[in-house]
Amino acid sequence: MNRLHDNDLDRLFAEKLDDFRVEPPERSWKKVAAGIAITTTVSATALSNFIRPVVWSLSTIATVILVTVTNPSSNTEYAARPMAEVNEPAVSLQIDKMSSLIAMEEIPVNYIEAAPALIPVNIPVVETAEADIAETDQPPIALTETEIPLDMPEYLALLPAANLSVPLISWQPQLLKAPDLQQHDKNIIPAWFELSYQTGPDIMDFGMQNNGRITSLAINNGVDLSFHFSDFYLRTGISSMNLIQRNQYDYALNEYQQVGEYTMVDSMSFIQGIDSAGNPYAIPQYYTSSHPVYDSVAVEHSTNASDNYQYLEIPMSLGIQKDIRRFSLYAQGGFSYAFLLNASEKTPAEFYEETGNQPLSWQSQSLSRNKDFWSFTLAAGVLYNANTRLSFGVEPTYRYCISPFYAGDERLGQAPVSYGLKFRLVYKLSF
Amino acid sequence: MGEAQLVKNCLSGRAESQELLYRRYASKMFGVCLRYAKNKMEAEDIMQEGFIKVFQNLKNFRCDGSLEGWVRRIMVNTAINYYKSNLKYLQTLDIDDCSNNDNISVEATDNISLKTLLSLIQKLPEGYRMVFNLYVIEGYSHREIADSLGISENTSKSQLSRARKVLQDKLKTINAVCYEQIA
Repeated sequence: MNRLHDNDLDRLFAEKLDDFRVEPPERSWKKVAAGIAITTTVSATALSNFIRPVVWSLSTIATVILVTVTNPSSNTEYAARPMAEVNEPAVSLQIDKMSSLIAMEEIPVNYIEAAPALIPVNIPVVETAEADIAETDQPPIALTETEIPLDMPEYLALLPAANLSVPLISWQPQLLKAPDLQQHDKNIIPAWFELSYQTGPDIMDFGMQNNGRITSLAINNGVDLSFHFSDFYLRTGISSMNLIQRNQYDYALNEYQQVGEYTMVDSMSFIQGIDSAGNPYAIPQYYTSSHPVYDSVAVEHSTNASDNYQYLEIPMSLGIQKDIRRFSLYAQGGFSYAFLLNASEKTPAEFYEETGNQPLSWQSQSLSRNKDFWSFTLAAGVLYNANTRLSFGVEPTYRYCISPFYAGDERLGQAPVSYGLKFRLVYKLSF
Repeated sequence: MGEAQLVKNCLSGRAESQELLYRRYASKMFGVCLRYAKNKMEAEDIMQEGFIKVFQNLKNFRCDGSLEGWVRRIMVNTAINYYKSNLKYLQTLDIDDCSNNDNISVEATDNISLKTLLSLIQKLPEGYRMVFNLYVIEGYSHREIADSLGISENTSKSQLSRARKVLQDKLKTINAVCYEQIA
């Protein structure tokens, strides 16, 4: 009895189960059909996937604008500074009426006086008959003399002291200089928008695959719009990423190759021999040569090609920026959604044009790519402010793909990281 | 209808062509999925997910290869993903349970039915079953299995060895029962 060795066991299972067929239940097709229908619907929602980040960004920006503009406490510098100079006359100024021009609801503490400042004057003593005083039954007025402060000469010059019998407490705008309505612009740092163009390379690292580390070069070009408030900013935009990847293709060619040899008898001769009975006989002598046999055979080859994959990317970042003299330092982090716009892979026709060889078969050996992926990006940079509007600078970036880059099996390297350097040109827009 | 035409019709969204493609390969692929699953329900899930992937990625299929081979590869990959997503529920098997070195005869295996063989594979622990299927039936190398399952080559080899021992043991038991019945 032969023992069942590993090879026999393998053969037993392989032969019997390789072409094993079982009819699945009918409900399976219904579920698959439903799945395909959902997939079709999902492809319709690809547009929604595209729009969603944009809507998210715009709504966030709108919210921040609303909160920033309507909330006076958002600007600390504004609250700390008075609205007018303190060397104004000491009268009860209704500053709140002016302050409404600059969307301010609270009157700075400096101007909330407990009582109006009276302008002390010498009230002339009127010679009144003591009888008149008695008739009115009023208590006698205690007349006092007070010195006029020397720091208000202009008012004294204007006031007809002789006729003045009541304190000056009413609003007299002609006594004040016109308020500087632009003054608040110097104190408030408003929110603003920036438009920027960025370009630069990315080195994408797909990790170790098969025999080595796979890296690819990507070139980015994009336009960003950022909304700055205080030291922070929100940035979104659209960017084109042109990924250049080296792919391997297996192909077969008809080649005229040696497939064997044949032997040809070039000449023959006879020599005389003698058999066992002593009779002579002719022994043939053959002179041969070998010749190769050629035929057309299919031969497998491999070739590498640099293929281009164009992605459209929508970044959404939150950052912080600090200005130091003419330089601005910033750091930002956020998510990007990228989807494959166009894939330009090498075709058998292109191969034929290049080499003049028509392949019998052509098969890409690379994994197929997902139509879209999400990534998380960290970046920091420095800008040089050439003037109040224009800045330029460099921005090193690090990106980590958080969704699979390749479709199909979850192999190593499907979620690449990338290291990039962007050059950014910024134009500051008026708010 | 040829494969190229069938693929073209499916890509244009014709439901009847999609159903035709499904019915052409369903029984074969269900057989493949049954080998990777531990029961029929699990096999159904894998096959349904696999066919949905087939239709999703049909545009990537190059008609210079066999459609059946391509579909089968997707099924196997789906089964691998299914296995990896359920790794936390992995069964473990003590090495002592499969240390029986007795061997059974080649002749004794001739009468073993397909159903029994399938049952033996399905009863293997998850990891053993994956490696055994990929190596013995799909013809993957240990390197490829290691890459696919995210394990080392040595783990793949040892799991294959243990799977063989478990199967040898089970076949021996079946063999003994058969002889008893004959006697």
